[in-house]
Amino acid sequence: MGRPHAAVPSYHGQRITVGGYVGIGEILGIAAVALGAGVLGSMLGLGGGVFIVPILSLAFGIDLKTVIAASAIAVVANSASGSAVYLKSRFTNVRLALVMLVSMVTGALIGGLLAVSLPEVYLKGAFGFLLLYVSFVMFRRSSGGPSAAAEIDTDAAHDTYRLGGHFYDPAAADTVRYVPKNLRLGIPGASLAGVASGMFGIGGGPITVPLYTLVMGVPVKAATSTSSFMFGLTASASALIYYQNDFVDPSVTVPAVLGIISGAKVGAAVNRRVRSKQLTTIFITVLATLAISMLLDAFGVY
Amino acid sequence: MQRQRSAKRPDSDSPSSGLGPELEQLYDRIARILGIGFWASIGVILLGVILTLAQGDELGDETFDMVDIVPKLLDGDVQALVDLGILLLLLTPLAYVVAALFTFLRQQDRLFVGVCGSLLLLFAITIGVALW
Repeated sequence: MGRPHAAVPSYHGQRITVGGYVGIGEILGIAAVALGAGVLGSMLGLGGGVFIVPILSLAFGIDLKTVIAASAIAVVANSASGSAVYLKSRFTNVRLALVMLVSMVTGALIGGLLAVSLPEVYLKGAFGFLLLYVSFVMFRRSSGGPSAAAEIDTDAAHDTYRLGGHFYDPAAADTVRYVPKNLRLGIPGASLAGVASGMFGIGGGPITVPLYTLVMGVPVKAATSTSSFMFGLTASASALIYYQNDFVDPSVTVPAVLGIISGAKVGAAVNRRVRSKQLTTIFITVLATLAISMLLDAFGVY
Repeated sequence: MQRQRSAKRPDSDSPSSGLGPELEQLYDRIARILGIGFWASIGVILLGVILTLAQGDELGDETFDMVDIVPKLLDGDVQALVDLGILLLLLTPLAYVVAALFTFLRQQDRLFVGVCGSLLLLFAITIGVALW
């Protein structure tokens, strides 16, 4: 048997222990929150972690590290189930992903070790700032802010390491070719996404997608699908650390994982029918509110 | 009458033409590995949950150590199935790195053999650190 959990006081002063002690009601509650987080995350293209981590921590009073571990495992599941489609369409660039993963997994390893050793209050504060950053990125994207996407290089002569890719874009009815550039900036940059993913159990898309599109000149479709492919391996590195440090609680993890992956499927289906700017604005507001709540909680304001 | 295809579409029905046969196979193999790994691990987790509830027990709030899972399964502890499913899920992405390593070894692509080898080494360190 793994070591028993330390009695970690929660936000309300008592750690809620689900499953064996509280029962099926809380498990269903976690699954419902995870389903909603999966839907929202999928509609915003973020994954469910950015919603489920603060909600389960703040509203359910579950130990933050336990929630982060559950979220990291859900990221692995989401990446595995979602990447197959992108691989078949060849949007994903496997060679580029593997190179970036060396740096990203290194970051995740550091992030995972930081998460298990840092006091919860620091993690909460850092997560709050990360959520604020994500809200800002999403707001800029939704308001059609100035696009500074790097120019796409198509010259095969520049592709020294054969990292270039091409795919057929049905929307443009054309083949898109590209050669990633600024590798000296992009590869170390991926380690930052790895640290964030490892520390907070999220995918890292708000960092890797802008890195690919703005710095490395990778087209958006290739950037999002290659990022989503990378999250699985990255999150599994940190989740293994959480597992062996006894932060994986099956009575939280199982409903969270099943809820998030089901929600992601629902969100993808809903997204094809509903694409409302007002809805996106509401979700961003929710995200910003969660960010501020996490920060207030971390600073002991309430 | 056959529909005319866009002139700019790649010259085969596959959207992937141009990757080369070895990489084409690798993409398909990775998609299969991820699909099988995902469904197998979710299946094992659900089986563990169903058997645990069927025995009148409730889902526990802690996991077994990695090294204890197989002995616990052999002892008939069905909760170990949930832990096994979670670990299967976590190791699924690692399986595609192994598949990629073999592809690049066949292609004698030293750079990418090194890249895949580095990733496997990082995971060996991760598991080593976790067990330590």
